[in-house]
Amino acid sequence: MSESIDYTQLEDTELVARSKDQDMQAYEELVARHRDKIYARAFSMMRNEEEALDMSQEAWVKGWQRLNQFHGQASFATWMTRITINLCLDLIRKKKRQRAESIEQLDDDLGGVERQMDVVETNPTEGLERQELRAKIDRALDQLSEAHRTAIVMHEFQQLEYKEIAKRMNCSIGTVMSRLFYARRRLASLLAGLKKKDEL
Amino acid sequence: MELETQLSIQALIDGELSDAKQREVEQLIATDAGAKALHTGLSNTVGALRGGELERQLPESREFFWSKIADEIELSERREARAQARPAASVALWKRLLLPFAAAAALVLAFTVFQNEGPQVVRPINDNPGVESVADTELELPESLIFDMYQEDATVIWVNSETGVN
Repeated sequence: MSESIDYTQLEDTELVARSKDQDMQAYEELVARHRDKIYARAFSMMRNEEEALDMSQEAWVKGWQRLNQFHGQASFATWMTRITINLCLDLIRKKKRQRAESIEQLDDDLGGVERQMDVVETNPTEGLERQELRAKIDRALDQLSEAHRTAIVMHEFQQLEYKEIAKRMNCSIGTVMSRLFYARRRLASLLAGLKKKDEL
Repeated sequence: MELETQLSIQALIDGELSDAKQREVEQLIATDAGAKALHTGLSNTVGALRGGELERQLPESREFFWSKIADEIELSERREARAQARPAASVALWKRLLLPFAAAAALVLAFTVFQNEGPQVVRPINDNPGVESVADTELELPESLIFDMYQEDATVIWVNSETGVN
């Protein structure tokens, strides 16, 4: 007699265990639960709906194939977002190679300008509603270089440490620190600018 | 302020400094107005960015999105199964292709050896150096050679047409 399971009532850990036993319905439930988060992370990296969709779909396929490597040290959602970030990084690198342009080159181009930026001491986001702030951050992220945006996404949204980011971005910890620094200063400046514009 | 100092202030906010370095940077922030301003500015930005990722909804229905994933999983599993089966199949194919060639090569080699085998001079050990004893011996070719190719389940018979001509 086959048992009827209500997958929506199961915890992620139980769904993961069942998925490891090739239960596709359990995996479908995991996809349904976390697909928006995975898509949002892919979008933060790629800034393009089509690529974000492709990357999130590929991440879920990879997730299924690598389920046996997931041992529950982090949450399933965190593990999935890491797969997504790695796939996005691969695509970004591939695109860079196609354009015959290195991330380092972009950094050099932007670094010089940002070094001259003033420190924004006042809080550029003061008084903003959470959702409003997120929308502003999203618009500002659009204006960062891929290298700076990637560093911000990995540090601020994925909460990865410097050395982990360096490993994934294939660069030194010093480079990660300077990318984060310039990215934050540029974001602060962009957010302050967006706030002023909205106040007019 | 030097870039290194600015990065240290940032590392303090990110919790990436050792205890000793942390105390050193905190001391600097307490005494240097520029360092304090940078610390405040960076802290504000970091605070704003925390949890600042815009929530987005995947622009496809649950069923459609899942069907694409399920199809891709199925396809990749089939590809993997095919890839695993491929080495055994390719070895069998190579065997099938190479065996006739090997047999033909063996035949040609045997034929060439027998064809080129000219009169052979046999110099027996001569105990008497004063008298030279030379014996010319011509090897006789066999009338026929038979190769059994067990793996091909075939027998090849080579007949020497020159035998008996003289």
